[in-house]
Amino acid sequence: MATGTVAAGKGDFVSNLGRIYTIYTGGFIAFIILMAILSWLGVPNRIVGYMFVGFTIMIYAVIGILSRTMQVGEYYVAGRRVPAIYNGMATGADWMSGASFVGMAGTLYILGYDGLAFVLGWTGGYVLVAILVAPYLRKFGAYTVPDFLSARYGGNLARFIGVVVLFSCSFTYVVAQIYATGIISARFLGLDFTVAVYVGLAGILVCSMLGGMRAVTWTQVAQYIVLIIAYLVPAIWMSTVKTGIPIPQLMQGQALQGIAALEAAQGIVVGHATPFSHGGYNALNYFLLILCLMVGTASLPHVLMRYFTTPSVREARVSVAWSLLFIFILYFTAPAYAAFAKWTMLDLVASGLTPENIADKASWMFRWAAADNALVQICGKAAVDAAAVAAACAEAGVTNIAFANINLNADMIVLATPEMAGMPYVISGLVAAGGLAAALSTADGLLLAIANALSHDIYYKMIDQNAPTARRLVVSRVLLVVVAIAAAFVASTKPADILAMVSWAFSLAAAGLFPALVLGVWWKRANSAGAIAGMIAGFGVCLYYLLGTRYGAIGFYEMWSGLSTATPEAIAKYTELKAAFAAAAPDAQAAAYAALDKHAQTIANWWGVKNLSAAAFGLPVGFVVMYVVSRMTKEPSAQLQEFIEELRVPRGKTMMEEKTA
Amino acid sequence: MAAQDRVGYWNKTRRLMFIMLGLWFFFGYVIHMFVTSLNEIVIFGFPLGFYMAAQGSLIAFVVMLFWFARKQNSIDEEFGVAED
Repeated sequence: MATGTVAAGKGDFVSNLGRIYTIYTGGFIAFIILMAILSWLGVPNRIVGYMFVGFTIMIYAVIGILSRTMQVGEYYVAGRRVPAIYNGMATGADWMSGASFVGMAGTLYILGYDGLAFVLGWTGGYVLVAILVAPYLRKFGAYTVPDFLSARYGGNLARFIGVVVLFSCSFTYVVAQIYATGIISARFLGLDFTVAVYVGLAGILVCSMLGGMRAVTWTQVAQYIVLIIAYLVPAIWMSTVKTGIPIPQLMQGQALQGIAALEAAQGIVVGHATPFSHGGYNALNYFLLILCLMVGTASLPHVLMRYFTTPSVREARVSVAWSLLFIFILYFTAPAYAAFAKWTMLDLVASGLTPENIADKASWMFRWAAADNALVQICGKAAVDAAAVAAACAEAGVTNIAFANINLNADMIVLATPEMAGMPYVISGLVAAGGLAAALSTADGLLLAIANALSHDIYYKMIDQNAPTARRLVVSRVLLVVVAIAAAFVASTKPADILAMVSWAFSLAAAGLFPALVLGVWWKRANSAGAIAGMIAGFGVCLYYLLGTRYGAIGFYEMWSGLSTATPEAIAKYTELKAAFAAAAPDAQAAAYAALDKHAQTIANWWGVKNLSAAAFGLPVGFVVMYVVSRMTKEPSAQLQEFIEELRVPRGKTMMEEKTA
Repeated sequence: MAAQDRVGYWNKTRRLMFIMLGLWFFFGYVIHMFVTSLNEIVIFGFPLGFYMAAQGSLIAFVVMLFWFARKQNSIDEEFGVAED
């Protein structure tokens, strides 16, 4: 039997986890020191970058191969043997995506206080996971989230809708992760982007294909350790350089003071700490975004399924707390990271930055601008070299470059910080390895969630209930590869709205799944008809708002102009652009339409709610429809009510016993 | 488990859930509605309103979850429904 060695050594492995991961962490730190020495001895940066990425991916691959399995319970839920604290770490890596690692501090840098909506939303959601959903799903003993929907709401229709929602939110999310791995590999390994995407894909598959949930769990723990070290080191470095004390979270206060003083000196009116004033986040949108992110967290299947792997309901609850603690370590560092980066930049500007001396003071900007024109813009043009900056600033009439003239992309700030603050290259390599770990771990979890739903829910439960175990696992692996390649293909086409789509995943999951999951446990009267109607209505409204305001903005605005919060000027501009489009010559029509559509996107809304927070409508609609339809139709059978009673009590075996052989 | 015990168990569990939901609402939303006035208070260089969103509420969430896990476990034990 292929799994003999690992299966036999399994008990040893779980009881030795502490020792194994301590040695692993020590080994990783030793590796960083070795790289620093090599770098100091004159090994070229490019080689150091290769070694960081290559070494970490090799470790994940080894774990993935050692954890291979042919048992259904191991493949789908890691044998339900993952201790709470390790499941917490794995959830942390599963949860913190490439976007959290690479983009969060950058968003905070740009949006200041208003960016904290992401920090709050992505942590507070775990309270809902712990109190409303996770322990009960663990008691039920599902392999997938649609499994639960099917058992609770009697039948395959609820299961199928669950799979549709799961697929639509997870697939866009996984595309974004593969895209992020492509970006990082391209930047640090110098590969072509399309090649880099498929290299990233190989890294993902080797972790998840052979061992399913078991392999993903143990690689995610390893990836968490890499990503948290990689995130903390530059923040601690900056804090030490700037304040002399290596606790960035605490010294952030001093950084905020520094920022405020420099902002005042440079005449920046809307300060970093000023609430509800950046990027169109008024108080309404700030709070709605927090709500959508929190509820979305409690509904995303790849997160919920991590709690299926704990040994007991009690451990599932404790595990949610550990998860949040591990996530918290990164999320409360992010605002400090952003503050120190901003302070460094403001200092740079205050030192008298001009087009003449920028080559000496901040040549790192040129390298990033050369990699992608959109990443660094000064005076409105890509800052590829000193001449380009001089030309752009001369055109704009700028002699001293002000903070507002420098436009940094949110996604480059974390990756560029080591250079910005003058750290050695080894830190850049470490940050690249960390970003890759974050993107790979999330991609693994998402791919597994999708492939499991397709193989377990669609193939096994809906198509062939008599499929033998071996065939189920083969189907599962084939689907995993197919979904992964499809996602890599979509990512390689560089879809424009990638970051927006990630935020949409939260709204879609929240509106489509949350009411059915929560009422399924907490309201006995909820029945099949209600849940199906609620899921369709909530998901439908959410999707309509997302797509309508983004891709059909003109039609959406025309239809709902009464609800839009457009100012009279914006309406006048819309009428003007529309007239211009109607009057445009055939060859100018496309440009006129694009201008009209772009403007329409800014005013196509209901009561000014941003597209990002679409669940603000889908969620209440889902709840109300589910309540009303349930009330109007027959109450669930006595048998099902007994099922719910059983679900609420921790004691006893899992309720869904799977055929495992 | 007797039906009466079940009702008692579920009532206590539900009460704990609502307490948690209340705390969640307070730290997730209510406190941030007063951000402008809280920002008047500055501790260690942090405007308090900013601090609550950047760190304070997050710490509260973490502490709440560990407290919840313990509390719910003691309810389980009280009613004899904890796992072995």
